[in-house]
Formats: sequence, structure tokens, C-alpha cells
Amino acid sequence: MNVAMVLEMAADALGDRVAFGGLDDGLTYAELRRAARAVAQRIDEDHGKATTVAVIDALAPIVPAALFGAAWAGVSYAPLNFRLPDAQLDELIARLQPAVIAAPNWVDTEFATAREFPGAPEMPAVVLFTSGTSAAPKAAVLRHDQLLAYVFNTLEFGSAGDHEAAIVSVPPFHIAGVAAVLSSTYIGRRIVPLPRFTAEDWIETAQREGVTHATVVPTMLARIVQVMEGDPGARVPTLRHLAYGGARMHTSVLERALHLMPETDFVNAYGLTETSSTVALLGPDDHRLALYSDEPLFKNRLASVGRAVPGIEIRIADPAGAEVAADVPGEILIRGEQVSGDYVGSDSKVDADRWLHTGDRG
Amino acid sequence: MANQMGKRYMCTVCEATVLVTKAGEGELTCHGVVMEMPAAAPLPSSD
Repeated sequence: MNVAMVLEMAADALGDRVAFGGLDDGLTYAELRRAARAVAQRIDEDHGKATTVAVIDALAPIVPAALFGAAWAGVSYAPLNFRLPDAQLDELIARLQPAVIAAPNWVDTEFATAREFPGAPEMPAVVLFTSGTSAAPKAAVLRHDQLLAYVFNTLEFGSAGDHEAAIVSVPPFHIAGVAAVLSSTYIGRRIVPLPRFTAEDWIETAQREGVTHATVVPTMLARIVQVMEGDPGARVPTLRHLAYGGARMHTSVLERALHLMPETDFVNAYGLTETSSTVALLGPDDHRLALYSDEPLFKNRLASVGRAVPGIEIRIADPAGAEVAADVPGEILIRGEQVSGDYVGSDSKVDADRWLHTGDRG
Repeated sequence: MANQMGKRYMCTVCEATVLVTKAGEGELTCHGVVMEMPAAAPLPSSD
């Protein structure tokens, strides 16, 4: 298993479709595959024998090219927070050594050579630093088969129509940013990058590109709602689908958003870095039921993260690990093929029965 | 034909399931029977 197969399938079946950028000047899936091979070539040329490629850029072609290029070269892909001061970046890079840093011009396909499709690498596919509350950030590891379990269990290949476009404003060093690249590529939905988020730019870009899908974190939605409330012209009529997650969503913001965008399907996605992103979804029907029904059973759904995705088990447990009764709070435990919970240089959060102890209360 | 790129096919006899990752000419069979596409309700997008 190698995550590069996601791009391989897209390039084989949808090669001329735009993968990333605008319809006129974006990279097609075939071009993105050449860019990934070019990155792999550059990694191979590194005489330090790097086992990780670090990317310290905002969303740009180098991001998907390095994610898949790393897989081609059999090394790990480590996107880093480009807003960190140099001293902190140096510390993170030191923990990834032997590592090489990708330059944006590595996508230049002049360097792409033909190469045999790679086998299953030893190195994990992705390393993401999770911001800890106290000490140094932990380096969470996601393996090829875990990420592919997420892709194959929750998505249908090439299912996006060629008019679809997803505006991506989550950063590359966040699990949502990694998932956005993998998912969009597998289903064939064009990525419209928004490297620096402002609500006004988000609305303007989405209007201009005819964006149909979006994923936002709650603070972004709050800002978008504010701008929309102040300007009736600030609407994205093509937006069929809005997913949100990454932090707790305030019900008041969500209700205002639902009223401002009644034609849009809303989805709450719950997941962690350690679970290769989404493990539970609250779908559009539940959102509309909650908004328009008077029944408390349905209204309360807005506070729920929904139902587990295929292949995932979720349990709410007491401190001893025993499952608690319905409506009793406890720790959220998650199990499934897409779940990791492994770190470089820290203990795994997965117990002997393969349950991930999330530390989340639910 | 049971050979479309990216589609899942299942054996009606043993329930083995495969995913086609590279298109080819042949048709997938298992236990001597052409494999079928299981009916699956797609999930809403989350990314």
C-alpha cells in the first residue's frame, strides 16, 4: 500500500481534469503526477539520504506534489507551520533528521523522470506535529495503510462531477489539510487554494471559482457569517456543501450560518490527527431536522458529532476503560484501520485492545 | 464489465471484496461467478 496510488488512479482515469488551482491555469492530475515524480527525483538526489521531506509553505502546488512525491520516494512527508519563528522550526526539523526541505520550484516537471511505481515504504507516509498544551509538540505518525483505509472506507473514486471545486483554507500542516489533498484527489474534485484566510477573500474566491464544496474550522465560519450578515451580496450561490470541524462549533454561529445558507448542505466532521481525520459525521439531514423541528431529540443533534464512518468503532469509557451507559459522559475511545495514535519519540495512545484514548470528553 | 477503475466488486459466494486500482481488459470473477458491485450509500464530504 502506498498513498501515491491515489494520485496514480486519478492521473490514469481523470488525467486532463484540473486538480489544483484555477480552471485556466491550474495543474491537471497528469501534471500533478509529473510534479510529484519531479519532487521524488529531487529527494533521491539528496546526498544526505533523507528519510523525511519537510514542507514549510502555505498551500501551493508544492504541497500536494510533496505529499505524493514523498510517497514515490519512500520517505515521510512533514508539513510544518510556516508561521513559526525560525528557532522553533529548526527544533522541529532537528527532530525529523535526516530530512530535506522542499523548495517550491521542485514542482518543475523538467526534472520528472519515468520511474517504476513504488512498493510499500518502511517510513510512515505523513508526520504531523500536534500542538500540545504544555510541553513540546508531539510528532504524530500516519502510515500509508491507515491513510488509505480512510480513503477507501469513506470515499468513492472519481465520484466528483467535473464542475465541482473545493475551496481549501485549512493549512497544510493540519490533518484537515492533508485529508483535503488525499480526498479531493481520490474523488476528482478540483482544489481551489486559499493560502491566507480572510472571510472577504474566502467569499470572493468562492464566488469567482464557482466553488461547490468547502471545509472550514469554526473560527472561519464565525467570520464568514459576520461578513454575510453585513452584506446581502456576500453569498456563494454555487456552494452545495459545507463541512466544519477541528474544534467545537458554537450552536449560535451554526444556526446563523444555516439560516444564511439554506440551500447548502452542512456536515459536522469529527476526527483527530491520530485518526487520519474524520471518524464521525453529522449529515445535512440531521442539521435541517435540528433547525426546523421542535422535537428536543432532533434539536439536540446540533450538539452531536453524528455517527461513526464505516470501519470505525467509537466507545465512551470511564477511567478504567469500561463502556458507560447512554447519556453518561466519558472519554472518547476510537478503534479502526485508519487509527494511528503513534508518535516519534512518545508513547502510543493506543491500548492493548487497539483502542485510541483520545483524551476528548464526549 | 466487472473491471471499472475505482469501483468495488464483491463475490456473491464468499463476499470477498476488491477495489480496482488499475484498469484492465479482463473481467473479475470469483468462485466462477462474475463479481458484482455492492450497493453503497455514499457519505457526505468532510474534507
